[in-house]
Amino acid sequence: MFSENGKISGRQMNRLLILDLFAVSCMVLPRLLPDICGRQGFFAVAAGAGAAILSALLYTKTARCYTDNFFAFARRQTAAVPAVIFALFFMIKFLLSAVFVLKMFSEIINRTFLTEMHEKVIAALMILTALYSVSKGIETRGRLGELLFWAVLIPIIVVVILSAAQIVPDRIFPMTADDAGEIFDGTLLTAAVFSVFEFLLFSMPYVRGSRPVFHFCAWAAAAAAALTIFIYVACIGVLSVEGAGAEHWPTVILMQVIRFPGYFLSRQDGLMLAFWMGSVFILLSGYIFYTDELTKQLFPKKYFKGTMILWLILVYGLFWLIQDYGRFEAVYWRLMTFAGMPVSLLISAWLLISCKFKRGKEGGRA
Amino acid sequence: MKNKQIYAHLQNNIDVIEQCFERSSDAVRRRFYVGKNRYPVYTAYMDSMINRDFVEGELIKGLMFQTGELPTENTLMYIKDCCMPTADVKVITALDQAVTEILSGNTVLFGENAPMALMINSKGFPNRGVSEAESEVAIRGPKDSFTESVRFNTVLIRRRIRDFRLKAEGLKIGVRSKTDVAVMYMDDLVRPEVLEAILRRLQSFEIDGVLDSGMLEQMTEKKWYSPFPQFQSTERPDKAASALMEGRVAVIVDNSPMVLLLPATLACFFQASDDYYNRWGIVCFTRLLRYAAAVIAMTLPGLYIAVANFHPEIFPTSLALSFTASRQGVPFPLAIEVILMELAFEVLREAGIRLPGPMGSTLGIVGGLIIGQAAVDANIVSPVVVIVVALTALAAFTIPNEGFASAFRLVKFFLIFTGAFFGILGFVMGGIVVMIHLCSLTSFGIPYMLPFVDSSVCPKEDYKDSALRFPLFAMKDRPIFTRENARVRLKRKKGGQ
Repeated sequence: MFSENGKISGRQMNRLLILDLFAVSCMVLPRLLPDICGRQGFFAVAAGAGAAILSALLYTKTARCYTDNFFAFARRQTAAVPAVIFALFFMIKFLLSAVFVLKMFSEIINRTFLTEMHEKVIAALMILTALYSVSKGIETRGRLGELLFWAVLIPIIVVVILSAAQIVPDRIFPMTADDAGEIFDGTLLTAAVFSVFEFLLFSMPYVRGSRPVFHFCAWAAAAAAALTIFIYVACIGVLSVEGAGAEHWPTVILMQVIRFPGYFLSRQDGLMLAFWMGSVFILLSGYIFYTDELTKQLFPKKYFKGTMILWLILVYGLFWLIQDYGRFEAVYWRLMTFAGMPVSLLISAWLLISCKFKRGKEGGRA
Repeated sequence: MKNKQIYAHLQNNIDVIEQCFERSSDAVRRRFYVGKNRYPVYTAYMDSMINRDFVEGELIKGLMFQTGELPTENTLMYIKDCCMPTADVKVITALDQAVTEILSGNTVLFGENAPMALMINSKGFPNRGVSEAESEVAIRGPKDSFTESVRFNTVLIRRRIRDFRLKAEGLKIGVRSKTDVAVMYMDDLVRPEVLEAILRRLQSFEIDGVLDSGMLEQMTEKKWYSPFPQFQSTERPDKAASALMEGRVAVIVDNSPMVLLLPATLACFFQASDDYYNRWGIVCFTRLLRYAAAVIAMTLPGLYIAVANFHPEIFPTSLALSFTASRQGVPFPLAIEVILMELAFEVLREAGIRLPGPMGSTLGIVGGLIIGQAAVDANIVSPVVVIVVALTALAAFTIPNEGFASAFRLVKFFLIFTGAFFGILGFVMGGIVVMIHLCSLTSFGIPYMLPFVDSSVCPKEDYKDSALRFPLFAMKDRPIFTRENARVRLKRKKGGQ
C-alpha cells in the first residue's frame, strides 16, 4: 500500500518546508532587517532566498547520492570518525535551533498574548505536543503539514491583504539598493534563516516518487520569500522603518493594527498567532525529529523510543537557562550565519565531491 | 467430539447426539424408517429455529410416506439425490459440524451404514422483519434497513447489486456462539491486500461469542484506544451497496442490524445516503454545513472558555459586556459552568435512550426546562453557556454517523480542559494533538484523513465526493478503495445527451 511505509510524497515535503521556512522568517526578519538594511530589506530577503535555493540545490544533489541515511553515507564517503563529527554537528545545531524556536515562540506568546502565563508553561505545552508528533513518525508529520498548510498561510495572507489599505507609500518608496554592504548583511541573515533546507539531507530518503525534489525546494523558498517580503513591505509601510525597528515583534503589531471588515473582532492578532503556532510547531517538531533520527543512525543498537524524550528534556532544560532573549537571539544568529550555515554547506559539499569522485553510488539513487 | 468423523453405525451417532442435547427440551430428535425396505434414519433439529412447514410438512412427510424402494448401497446418497424436496442439501462428515448445523437452524439426517450425514437448510428464525432505519433517517431514498438475520441482510444487498461478481464469504466466529459472519465484496473491485487483511483480522482471535458487529469492530480495530472509529457502520442497505460498488468490504454479522463497511476514511463519515439522491447544489451546502458543524461540535465550548477566560479583549466591547452581564451572580467559574452543563446534557441524552418511547419525550421536555430555564433563573448557569452547549449538541447531531459523532463528545471535553487551563494556546495545542492523532490513523493501510492529506497519491476523483459533492455525471471514477485498474465507473455513451 502507499501508506504505512514510512514514506512521504514530494508535495508533503514541499508543504513541510514552506511551513518550516515561514515559521521563523515571518517573525524574525521583519524584526531584525529594518535595523540592518531599512527599506533595502526587500532585496535582502530576495537575495537571501536565492542563496537558500542554491543551498537547496547542493543539499538535494548530496542527498541523491544515497537512499539509506545520512550517517551511513557519510561513513562510506569519509570514515567513522568524521561521520560521527558531522552527525554530532547537525545534532547540536538542531538542538540549539529547537531551543531558539522554543524561546522565540514563548517570548512572542508571553509578551503579546498570554502576559500572565509563565514562559516555561508556554514552552512546556509546545514541547509536549512536539513529543507526541515526533513519536508518530514522518508520515504523520507529512500529513499534518498538508493539513496545517492552508490553515497557517491563509490568515497570514489575509492580514497582508488587509494591511495594504494602511500602507503609507512614502515609507516604502523609493525602493533602491543603495548600500551593498547592508544588503549583504541582510542577505546573510536571510540565508541563515532559510537554512532549514539542510533537513533535506535527512528527509530525502523518506521521499517517494520520481519527481525532482529540487523543484519542490525552489517552490518552497520562493513561496516563503514572497510571503516574507509581503509581510516586510506591510510592516515598513504601516509602521515605517524606524517604527518597525523599535518594536519587539513588528509582525504582531501589524496583526494588531489591521482591522477586519465589520470590526467583528477587537483583537485579531490572537487569532492570527493561533494559526502561526501551527508552523512553529512543525518546525520545532522537525528539529527534534531529525535529531532523533540522527540518534537512531548513530546508535542503532542502543536506541529506544524514550531517547526522544531525553532530547526534549535537554531542549527544555537549555530553554530554562536562557534569561535574556535579545542577547540569545543576537548570539544565535551570529553563530548560525558565520558558523552553522557555512559548516553545513561545507559538509554537504565535501560529501558530494567525495561521492562524485569515488563514484560512490553504492546504495545510491539511479 | 472435535475432529471426530460421523460413524457408519447409526446407533453410535444417535448416542453422541443424544448426549449433546440431553436436558435440551427444544432439541427435536427422532429415529424413523424410510422407504419400502424400512431404511433406518435419525433426524435432529432445534424447535422454532426451523421452518416447521417445510421440515415436517414436506421433508419428513415425504421421506416417511412418499419414498419407494431404496438401494441397499449408498442409500443416504440416494436419498440426497432423489428424495429431497430442496436443492440446499450438503453432505457433512464431521460430528461437531453436525451439531453446529443443528444449532444453526438446519436439519441433520443420519443414516445406517453411512459415515456421513445430510445437512438440509431449513432455517426459520423468528425475525422482526425489514423496518425503517432509525438512526440514519433520509428524506429521500429507500427507507428499508438491515435486520438481525445475516441472510436477510445479504439479500437486501443482492437486490441492489445483481452482479455475479458480488461475493459473500461465510465465516463462523465465536467458539460458543459460532456466529455467522458474511464478508461481502465485489471480486473485481476490491483491493486484494485489503480483503486479505480483513479476513486475517477476523480470524485472528478466539472469543466465546460475538453478539453484535460492534464487538467484532472492537476486536479487529488496530487503534482500539482511538475515540474515532476506523470502521464505518450502517443500517442502510443502499449505503452498503454503494460502498461495495466503490471497492469496499461489508461485514455482516448475524444477530446485528449494523453492517460494518471498511476501509473507512474521515470523508466517509460525513456522507449520508440521500447525498446522492438530492441535487448537487443543496448537497454541497449540506456537506459543508456538516464539516462546519463537526468543528463546532468539537471546539465551541473549549474556544468559548479560552477566549472568555483568558482573552476577553478579542470580543468586541459590546459583546464582551453582554457576556459579562449575563454571568452576573453565577457562583461557578466559567469552565465549571460549561462542564456542568455538558455533563447534564450527556445525562439527559443517556436517560433519553434508555427510557421507553412515551416517557422519553416527556423527559426531553422536563430536562429542557430544568437545564434551560430553571438553571438560568436560579443563576446556576448563564444563558450564554446554555446557548453554547445547545449549539454544540445540535452540531453533533448533524453528523450522519453516530459512532463518529460520539468521538466529538469525548474530544470536546479534552479541548475544554486545555482551553480552561491554558487559554487559546492550550486550545490550539489541543487541536493540534487531535489533528496529529487523526493524521496517524489508517484504516487497512488507507490514511484516515484522505482526501485531505496524501493528495499526491489520492485520485483527483476523491475530492469530488468529500467536502463537496460534484454532480453525479462528473464523478466518473471510483475512489481510492478500488483497485488500480478498475477505477472507471461512469462512461458516456455515444449519441447521448
